[in-house]
Amino acid sequence: MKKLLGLLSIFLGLALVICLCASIFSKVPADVPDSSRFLFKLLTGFEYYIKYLPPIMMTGFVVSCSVYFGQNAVGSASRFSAAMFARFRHVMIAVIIIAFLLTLATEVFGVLIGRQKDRIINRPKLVNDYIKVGRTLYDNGYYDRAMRYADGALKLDPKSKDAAELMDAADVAVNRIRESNIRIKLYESVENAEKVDRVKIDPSQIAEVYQYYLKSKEAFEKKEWFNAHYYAEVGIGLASPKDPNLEGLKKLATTSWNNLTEYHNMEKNEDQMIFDRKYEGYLALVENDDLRAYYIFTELYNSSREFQSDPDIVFYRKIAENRINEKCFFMDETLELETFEDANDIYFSYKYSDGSQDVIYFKGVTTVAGTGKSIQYLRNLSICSLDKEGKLFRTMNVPYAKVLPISVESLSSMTKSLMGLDESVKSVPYIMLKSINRDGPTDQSLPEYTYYQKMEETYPEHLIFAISYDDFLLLETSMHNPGIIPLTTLFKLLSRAVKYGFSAEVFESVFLNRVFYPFWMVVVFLLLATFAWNNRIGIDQYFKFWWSLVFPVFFFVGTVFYRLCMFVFKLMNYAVLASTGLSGAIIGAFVLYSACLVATSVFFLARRSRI
Amino acid sequence: MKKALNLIIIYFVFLILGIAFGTLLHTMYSNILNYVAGRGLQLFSVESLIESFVHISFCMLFLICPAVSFYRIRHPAGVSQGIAFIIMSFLTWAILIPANHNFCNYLTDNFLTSAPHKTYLSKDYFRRVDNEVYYFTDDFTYSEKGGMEADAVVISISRERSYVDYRPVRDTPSLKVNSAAAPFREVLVSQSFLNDTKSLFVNFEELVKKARRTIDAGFIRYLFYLSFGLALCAIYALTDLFDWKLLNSVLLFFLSAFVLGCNSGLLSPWLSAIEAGIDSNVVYSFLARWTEEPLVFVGNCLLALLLLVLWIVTSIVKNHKRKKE
Repeated sequence: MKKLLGLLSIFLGLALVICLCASIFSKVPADVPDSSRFLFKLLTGFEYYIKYLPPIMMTGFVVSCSVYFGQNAVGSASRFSAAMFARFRHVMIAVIIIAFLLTLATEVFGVLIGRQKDRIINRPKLVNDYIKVGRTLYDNGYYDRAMRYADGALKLDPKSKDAAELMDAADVAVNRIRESNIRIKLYESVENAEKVDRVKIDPSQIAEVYQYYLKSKEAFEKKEWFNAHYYAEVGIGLASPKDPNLEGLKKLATTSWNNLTEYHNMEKNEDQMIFDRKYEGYLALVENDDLRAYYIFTELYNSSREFQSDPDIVFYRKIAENRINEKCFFMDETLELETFEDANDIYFSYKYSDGSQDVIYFKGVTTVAGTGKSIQYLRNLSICSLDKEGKLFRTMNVPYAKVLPISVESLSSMTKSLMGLDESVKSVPYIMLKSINRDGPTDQSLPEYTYYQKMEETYPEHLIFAISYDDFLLLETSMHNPGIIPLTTLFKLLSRAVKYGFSAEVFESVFLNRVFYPFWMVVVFLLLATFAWNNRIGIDQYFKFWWSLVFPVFFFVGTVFYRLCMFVFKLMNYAVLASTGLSGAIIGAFVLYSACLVATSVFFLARRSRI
Repeated sequence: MKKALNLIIIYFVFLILGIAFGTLLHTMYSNILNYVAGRGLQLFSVESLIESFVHISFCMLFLICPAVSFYRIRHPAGVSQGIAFIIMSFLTWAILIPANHNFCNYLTDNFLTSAPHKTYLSKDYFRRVDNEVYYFTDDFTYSEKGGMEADAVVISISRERSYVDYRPVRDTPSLKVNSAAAPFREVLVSQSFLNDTKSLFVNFEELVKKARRTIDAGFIRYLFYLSFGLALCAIYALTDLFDWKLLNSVLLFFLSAFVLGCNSGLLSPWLSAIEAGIDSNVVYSFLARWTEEPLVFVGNCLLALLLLVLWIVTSIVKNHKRKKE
């Protein structure tokens, strides 16, 4: 057997060298950076190898077996001889290894190499996307997130100047905010900044802070309270905790602020004004006008640093925000989603118990990391609603929608029966269609409904899909090509595909093709071993070098033979499906291929030689 | 003599088993060709069995001589075997193929009386072709504008612009979801068989049609058509070419596929270009009167001659070697 595997390995090695040489002449897309061209060609060579591995393996196996059997043909004068059983053992081990390798190649390596090539092509695009998104976030004031994207871009391309610039800008902005987030109490400073190196004191920095101290003091003496407060705040932002000017700056800031507000609220008591505004917000909450309540408290929260620690404002703003989160979402949540979508072009349908149905399509889906896929955003969601006759009565389009699972226990029994949900369904997708601006009621995004029949028109801002949330997650895959869906997902989809508009027979046949592929390869290679025995090299013959010139013909024949085998294999799987139905197909296929294996084994063992 | 008789027995065993097994496989294949999602898979029907038998019987008759030659590689014998092979080749091409044609006509006329009914795509299934997804919401019905029509949700998923539309779709051969599925009815099925059917270089359907056409065209035309049979049978010369049987087997398979492919139109694009340049030639004009593809006829004859010469030379060389030993 060692000799057999040794000969086969030489053959496979030669084929690999040829594939790698062929890849030298392959075209490289323009998007691939120069530094990655060699790697791309290398991966292409491996891709050729994996694509043609089955016929290469078949050719190599037949040639190796033919030579091996030719030199070890003694002891099989009769059929079912002991020597033949020994050969059968060796061949079976070799064949099982081959079937395993071929399955690995098609299911794992082929996919991995494809993904790696995509990554190389997309890397420059991804760096640009990261920078573009980072800049958008920076411009909108989300410096922390901008910094993360700049960091991601630098990891992919450490030499990127744009990424480095963005990183620096975001870093400065983040530090400024961090350092300005210091709670100021009158006559007492309590620092709540992040840890800084309290030992290190930069003389040039002190000089700059002192300049702001002087400017603030000058303005203060002139009673220019805004300027005094402004320069003091800038100085506080730049100063380190050990800065000798810090205390002075804080006193200037707080005193000028107090004077400022006292000056502008001379007509009415400040506390009364704030109380009035809080009362307005609280009333809106009681009246369930959560959006108005949220904007009132947000305005208060944002209007003053002191209000950000006001317990009433903080508490009721949070309540209003939580209530809003149940009905809609903020537009800034979707700023960077398109670049990092988990899947694209998802479509499915489902029927209600009255025979009507919805056809769903969304262009992209992004999962929020760390949520276990329980928060997702759908881009360009379209829903076509059809009546029981299949006629369109309504369409809905929205640029972005947010999806969360909700428990079916929160639905009324009437809703559950209309949706036709099974008892086993625990949660369903809850879709929020409305998005709002986080800081003010200036703009919002609403779903667009169009009605095509005369009926009562409603414009809901949230929907529930009449399917299980688990099924919804399963459908976010390449349903149009079951050949590339992960096997475990494909297995789960077998019984559900037809409910959502996909052919159960096609899914089942693809599943059978993939699961029984190694089994079929064992049968085919055993048949090839028999063929190799029948055409083995003569005992007195030696392998002539010029015979290897015929190997390309071998390979061509091997390719055609492999395609024929796969064609017959797929036909047989369809036949099993047709005979046994969906439920018995796996067992039926197992029985069929077991019978094939037994038959080919008997055929092999029945071989004999004249010596 | 015994081996010659064995060859004859093998001939009939291969032929009968090949037709039986091939008919079963082809029936399954033709049912899958017509399969439409949601309508259930049908394995066998009398009509499809007869249609498959008609197709496969011809295919097996084309392949039987190469198959017997393949058997001969492992079981070589002397002149008697060669004579037996010549007799069987004559039997196949001069008698069995024309007789099969008449038998198939009888079967078709008496058992395949109903016109094949067209199947229309079912509703409630997503069918994706390139960047479009079709979801028929209704069964196909006859429309006032003529032809069959059904309403569909059509989703366009191109990178530049994606949209969802609802519109009536007419069932025409140029409809993407029909043309992309060919030869299957259902595009969902064709996608799983895509690579396998494209790699088969031989168009057996064209071979069968050509054979039947030529038989109907008369004796002289069929005589010229026999160049195809001559080329296929001449492959017998490869059975003893090399000492290593594997080489002989592989070359036999390769050359058989090549001959079948060339005669089923594999080289048509290039041959048409050559024929356009020589259509005024006298020999070409003469040949064109009696055969559909004169260049293929010439190629078949040349190949047969080459293989015959090769066989003679090989036999002489081997005989000489044996005498020396």
